[in-house]
Amino acid sequence: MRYSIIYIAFICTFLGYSQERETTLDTIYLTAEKLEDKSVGQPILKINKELLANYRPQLTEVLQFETPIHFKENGFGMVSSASFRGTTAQQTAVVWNGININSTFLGQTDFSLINTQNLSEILVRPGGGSTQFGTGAIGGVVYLNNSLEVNGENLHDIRASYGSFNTKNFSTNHSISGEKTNLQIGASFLDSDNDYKYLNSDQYNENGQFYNVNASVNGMYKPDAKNTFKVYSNWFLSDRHLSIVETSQTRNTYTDEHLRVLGEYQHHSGKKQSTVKLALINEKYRFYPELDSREGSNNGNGWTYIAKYNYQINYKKLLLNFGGEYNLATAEGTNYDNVKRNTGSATLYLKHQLAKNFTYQATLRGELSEDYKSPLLFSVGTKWQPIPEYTLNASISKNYRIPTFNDLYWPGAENPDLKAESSLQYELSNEFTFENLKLVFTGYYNDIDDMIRWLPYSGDLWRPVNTNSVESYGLESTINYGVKLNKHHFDINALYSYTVSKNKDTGYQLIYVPYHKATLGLSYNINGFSARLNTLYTGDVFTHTDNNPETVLDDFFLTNLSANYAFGNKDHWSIGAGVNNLFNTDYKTMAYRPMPGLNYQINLTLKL
Amino acid sequence: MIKQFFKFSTLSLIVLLGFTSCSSDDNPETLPKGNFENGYIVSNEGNFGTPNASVSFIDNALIDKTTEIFQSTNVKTLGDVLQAITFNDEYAFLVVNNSNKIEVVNRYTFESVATITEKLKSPRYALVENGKLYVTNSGEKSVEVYDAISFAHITTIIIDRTVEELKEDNGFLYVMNAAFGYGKDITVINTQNNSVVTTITVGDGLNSMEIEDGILYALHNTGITKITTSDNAIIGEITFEDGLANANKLEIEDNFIYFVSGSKIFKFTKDVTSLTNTELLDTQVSDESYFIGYGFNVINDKIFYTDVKGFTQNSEVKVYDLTGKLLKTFTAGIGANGVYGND
Repeated sequence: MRYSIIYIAFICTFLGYSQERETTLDTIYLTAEKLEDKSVGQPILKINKELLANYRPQLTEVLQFETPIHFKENGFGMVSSASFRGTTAQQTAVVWNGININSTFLGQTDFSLINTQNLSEILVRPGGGSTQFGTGAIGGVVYLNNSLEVNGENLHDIRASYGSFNTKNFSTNHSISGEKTNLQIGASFLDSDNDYKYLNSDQYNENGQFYNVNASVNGMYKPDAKNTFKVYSNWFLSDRHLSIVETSQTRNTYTDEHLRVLGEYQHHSGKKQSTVKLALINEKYRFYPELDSREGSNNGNGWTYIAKYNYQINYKKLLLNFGGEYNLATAEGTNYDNVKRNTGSATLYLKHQLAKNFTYQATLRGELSEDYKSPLLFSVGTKWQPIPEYTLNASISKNYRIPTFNDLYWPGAENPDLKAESSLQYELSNEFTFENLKLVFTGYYNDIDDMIRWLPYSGDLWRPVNTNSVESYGLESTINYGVKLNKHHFDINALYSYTVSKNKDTGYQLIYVPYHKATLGLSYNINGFSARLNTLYTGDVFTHTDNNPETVLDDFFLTNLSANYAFGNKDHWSIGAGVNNLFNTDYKTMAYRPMPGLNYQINLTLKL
Repeated sequence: MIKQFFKFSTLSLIVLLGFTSCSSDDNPETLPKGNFENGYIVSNEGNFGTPNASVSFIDNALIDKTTEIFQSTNVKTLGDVLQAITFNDEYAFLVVNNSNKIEVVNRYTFESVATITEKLKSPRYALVENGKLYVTNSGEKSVEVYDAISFAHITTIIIDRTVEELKEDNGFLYVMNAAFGYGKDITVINTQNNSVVTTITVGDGLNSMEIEDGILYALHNTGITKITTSDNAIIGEITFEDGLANANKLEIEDNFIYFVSGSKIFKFTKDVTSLTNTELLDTQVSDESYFIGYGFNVINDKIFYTDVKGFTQNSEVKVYDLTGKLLKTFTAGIGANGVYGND
């Protein structure tokens, strides 16, 4: 709470400078289509396609440098899990075009297995979001977006790159639109030997090679102003060896295959709107403990079917939205004997522009499941913009994470009293917007209860129970500044986050949660030439639950530099080069799992 | 601090060796065999998939403790999952399960002597008998035999089923065909010709074995089966009385039977016919069931019990006397799974 004093100081400082101006708030129609529309009270971080192209295709890197999310990676390209606002890997929701895609088996997303090259943009919203996106939206939401639009330009974008460790990447994206249609096709291929040398050691990353393929087809058909049809689909295949820590270890490999299809129909009539969504998610994995042998391999194959209906009505400055969802998740495999989970939920959403400069939203969501108990969820968000330069956002929400398939269906370990993990979160955010400067300061407090842990039950049986509580609070601040001097463009983006996340029983900071994280992005642009420098600072992290100082992972600075030059007729071509880990920093985000030192890549892009 | 102490003690050892070599004619008996003589060796298996296995040393007087003795002596990591340690007069053999290897060190200095990797795939336990090193090799479902001096591979004894703990007596090798709560048999091998002699069925959930005075004691879900090692015949069963369950980590020391069940340690005289649910002591340790009672041994009138704290922080080794009185606790490494005497 001592941060509120700092905030007030900030607010006062900036208020002193501000001038009176008309508010620019939308006063005609309230909408609830896009993520931004439904995020009253919670600022969003946007990462567009151009920015995405600066980073390697795996989702981890771009989020590491552009958002407050901290990642721990089991070595480069290996399992990568998020900690958002000090929460666990299962408490960040990854949402693809509105559908939550966290694994039903593990409850989390492996950020090395999300390819960003066929997306239009990524939106990151820190803080609770379970009323909207369901399970796991406790620390925050990572929203993967494909935006479809009729009457757009036809775009073709082909890119090839080659880098250190024999890393090959090829991606292609095409968008063809007509008066009533838009078709987007994209594909991406990534292959790497990933055999980087460990710094200050004679070892190298052994058995770390991987390849993956991503393909997506999205389409839209809008025959008239009233009706819209959309289809989204994505297929991903990955074969990844899991790097070993010693030459004498057995070499293994892990394959993943994900398929997602979403169909959407929207009918718009006057002030009313109905939306039907049908989705299918297939998630397959197989682990081979030994290369070239199926012996001892284990697998999982999960199918999730989702049906959603939404009815919306506008009444003057009030928007009401009623939603219902049915979700059937099934799984079979080595540890899953054709298990099924049925869930139904209902949502009530309201958004109201109370005054010209004050808007609020409120959501209520109830869920029913036969297999676990789920709390009634709510969220309230307010946005007050007394002057154009300043916005005060506030939000309170109750969020949850449902038990995973392992928690629910492990033979003999069923616990009829098992509840979802739940969290109550408070957040206050100040946004200052000037002509070319934007500052956001956010403080939050998050109380997480009923964390699921497996404990002894009777005899040699043990089962999942709701036990630990975690309290996290902190501060997030971002600064974006852009300046244009003749033909020179400069952009500065900086971010700092301070995170405390304590186990309430022991008082210790959770492992792998840094107190401090900061990033700095500098970019320079003149005519066809651009250069970009990105720096990440990650503070010390504990690796033992008793915060043992002897096993701390040291803090580190990581810097990447890249440059691009566009040339040819209408700048169709562009050639670029990048240097990752410019200062050859020896760093780890997971104990005993070194990350690569200095490495390079070059790329060539054709845009039509 | 510990490292500094270690460096200091190594230095003093070198100095001492220098001096004693000059004056060795006078009193050769005072020459210490190494820093890790006269005490207890704790094996810390480490986290699976992580090279943080380690070895700690506690001196006989329960005063001093040295951690990471393999790493600091040899300036390299020990490996991934130290499953067990076995000794002969000269060496300690560290079975590093997920590294597919056995590190051979001088048992008193912990200086590295050799690394055995040939044929090893997920090795579990080992023992040395008659100049031969026998290793249960779970990845190949075999027992591998090595020369305990040259460390050369001699032969493979194919078992073709689960192999876990192994014991030797009267020229027979007893290999437990049970692990992780599953299995009920013991394969008996004749060490003269390395052939399988017989398979003895003892009981479901077989989890540990001990040999004392020509009798093999095998602990399983319903009791302890006794087998004579002269003719491999079952001669009796000590059964559990109501309420006693989940007993494991059998130890027999000076006519007493010891084992653990969860947080509790049990002690009975060797000649009882049934075992009551009355513990010697309750360590009050609480952890997820797979981790509780992870390391246990009775050595030199002392009981050692480890609390691995869910493998998320360093373990604690609790030392009790034979009446159950807590003498001392020590911090060891991640996942302390065993304690061995090193005199």
